[in-house]
Amino acid sequence: MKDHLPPPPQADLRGPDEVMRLARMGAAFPTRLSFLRVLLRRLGAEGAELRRPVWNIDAQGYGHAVYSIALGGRDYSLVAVATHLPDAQRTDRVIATAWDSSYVLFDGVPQDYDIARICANAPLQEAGRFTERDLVLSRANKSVRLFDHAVAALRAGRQPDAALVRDTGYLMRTTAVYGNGKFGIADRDLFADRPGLSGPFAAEMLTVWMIRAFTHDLVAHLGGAPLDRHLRRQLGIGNSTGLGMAPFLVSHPVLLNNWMMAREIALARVLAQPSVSPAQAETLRRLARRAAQHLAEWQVPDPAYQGRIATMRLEWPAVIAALGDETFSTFQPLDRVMTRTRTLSCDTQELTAALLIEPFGDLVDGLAEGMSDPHGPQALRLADTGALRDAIAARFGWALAIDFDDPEEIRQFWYVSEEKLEPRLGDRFAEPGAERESPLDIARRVQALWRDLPEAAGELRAFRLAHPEHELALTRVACAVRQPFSEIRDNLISARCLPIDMLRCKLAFFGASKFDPKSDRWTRITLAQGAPLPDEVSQPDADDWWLPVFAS
Amino acid sequence: MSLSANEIQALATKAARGAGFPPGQAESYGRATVMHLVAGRDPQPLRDALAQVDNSPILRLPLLVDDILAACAAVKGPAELTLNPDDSALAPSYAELAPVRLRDCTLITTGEQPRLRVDAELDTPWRPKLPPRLDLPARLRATLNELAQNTYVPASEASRLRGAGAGLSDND
Repeated sequence: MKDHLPPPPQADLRGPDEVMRLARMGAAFPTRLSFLRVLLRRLGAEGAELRRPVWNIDAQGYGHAVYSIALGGRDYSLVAVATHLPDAQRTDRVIATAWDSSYVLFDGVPQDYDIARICANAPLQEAGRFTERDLVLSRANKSVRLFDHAVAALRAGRQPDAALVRDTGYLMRTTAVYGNGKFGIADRDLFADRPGLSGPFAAEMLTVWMIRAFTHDLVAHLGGAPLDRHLRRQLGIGNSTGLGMAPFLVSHPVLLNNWMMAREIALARVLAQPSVSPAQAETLRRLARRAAQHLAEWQVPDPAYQGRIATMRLEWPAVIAALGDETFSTFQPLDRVMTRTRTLSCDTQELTAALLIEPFGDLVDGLAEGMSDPHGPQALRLADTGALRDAIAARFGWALAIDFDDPEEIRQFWYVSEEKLEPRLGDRFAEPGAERESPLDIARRVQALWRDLPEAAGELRAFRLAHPEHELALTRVACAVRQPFSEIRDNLISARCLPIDMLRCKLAFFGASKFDPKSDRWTRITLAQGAPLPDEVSQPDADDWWLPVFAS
Repeated sequence: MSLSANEIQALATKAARGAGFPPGQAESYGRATVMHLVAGRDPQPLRDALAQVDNSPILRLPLLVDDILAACAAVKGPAELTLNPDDSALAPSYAELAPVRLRDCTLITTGEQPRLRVDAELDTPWRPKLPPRLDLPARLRATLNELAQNTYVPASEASRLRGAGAGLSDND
């Protein structure tokens, strides 16, 4: 029985002090364990077919459409609603009130009354009201630079400009993808044990992939001709992500641990391979060349970020060189490759890690099953205050070393604006509202707990009752004992904290690429660029789309 | 009004924070509020608990799950825990947050002090099944909404421009 096989050998895991630092999290790349990859492999394995039972879109491109697909023995449908949006109202901010298109992932195949209800509510987004049949709520705006150009080109009997397709990467970008009970949609618990939707953000990834298909169809409808297949393949779905995504990684420590742990175990298994076959070596070389092309095509306006990309371009030939025959003739050659990146940038190290994992699906794909959190919050299980003290010393030394008397270490505060409840980040010494700070200051809280702990071990229950202000810190410490990758090991209220690092880490786990930061607080990315189209998802090579590159 | 469990949990958590409770206890209160409503228990104690920031079940009851697990492990079977009388109405809802299956969770109100009789299957991980919708009684909802407001920072032009890092063109 496969279930009783011992786990494959693995090298030492990279430690949380290395992996859980913001700078490294902010260098993350998608891997074959990224959620969109996992979902599309499942769809392919099931031979899933995307149907479009409703196409009620007028000549101007407004109306609604329904797409349905079977996954894990159940039907799910995307109801897409396209509406007119004046250019002046188009903004990616949460505080927007209108969008070019809105979407609901529906549980089953919607009846006419379901469609009518969704068409009335989806364009309202946060101001609408939804039901437990609605699993995901989303909206998307057109890419002004590409959408109209693509339509005009098709109407003129041409395909859109290939360079513009490459540089933009999407026809529309989502500005929010809501799940887990928001605005009345279904709680995740209601479907978390369903085959195909049990993985983290699986329903959201299914939604995004279906939205991508809608954007392709909408342009073809308006242009009067389909986009060429290779262009459609290159057109993913954009996403604009701001601070709202960052607190998730702090408020879901078990999930964060499970995601990071799965990726790190995958890497450790690969590094422990005593040898690789000639075919695997060739795959690694091919993918390394693809990564080089990806880096060459990855252009962003932000000078600092572009500088990091430029460094990767300079360093990547060294990684390619490390994939030579002489390396593969040695014991544990992939460990050797990874070791050789130690002198290179953090970005290049993380890209190398993602590369090395890629050809070894048989070794690592099963780890995706452990990336959710089926059990929820657990009991503390700390014997006394002495055990708590030991746990802090072992897991939070990084937090104890921070000087919170230094104003720069507490300069920022996270808060929720009453304006559409948008999460924001403020300057404690220049802006009002710090007294309503959101509790993302984990390092400061754990240090405060440490200071109040008695020297001698005592009863934990009495300490908890006497110090209710430390309860959150205490639960974080208990969690970190069980889940070593549960905590971001940096001060999230420091002036040096860059939320973009948190965003990139989470988005890379989604499967995003082409990170394009617009500030240190929000970024554009592309999802599903290069991913199989609906009629390609079951093809033998459908999963071979790690890092999109433009094939003209 | 009919809501998702997550909406209620999030609102109740914010309300407890807005009432002045520490965030750890506020989170437990949010989860217990859901269990309380799932069980169809009287919502008034949920409101009452928010009113006493210095002496509230919200401060004491987060310890209950650990007490239950410790007691059941110690006696290797059913156990009875004595409750603070002020905590009895909410105690079963907090007890149901246990990460293991409870064979028994019964509030006993006869005698001098209320007690909770519990029997936990310590080796059986458990996550309660939630109904697709929950009714949030109007008075409780009003209280939660009012207190949750205390966690929001009033909008300003500065925070709109700087707080979320916007300011560049979205239209490209």
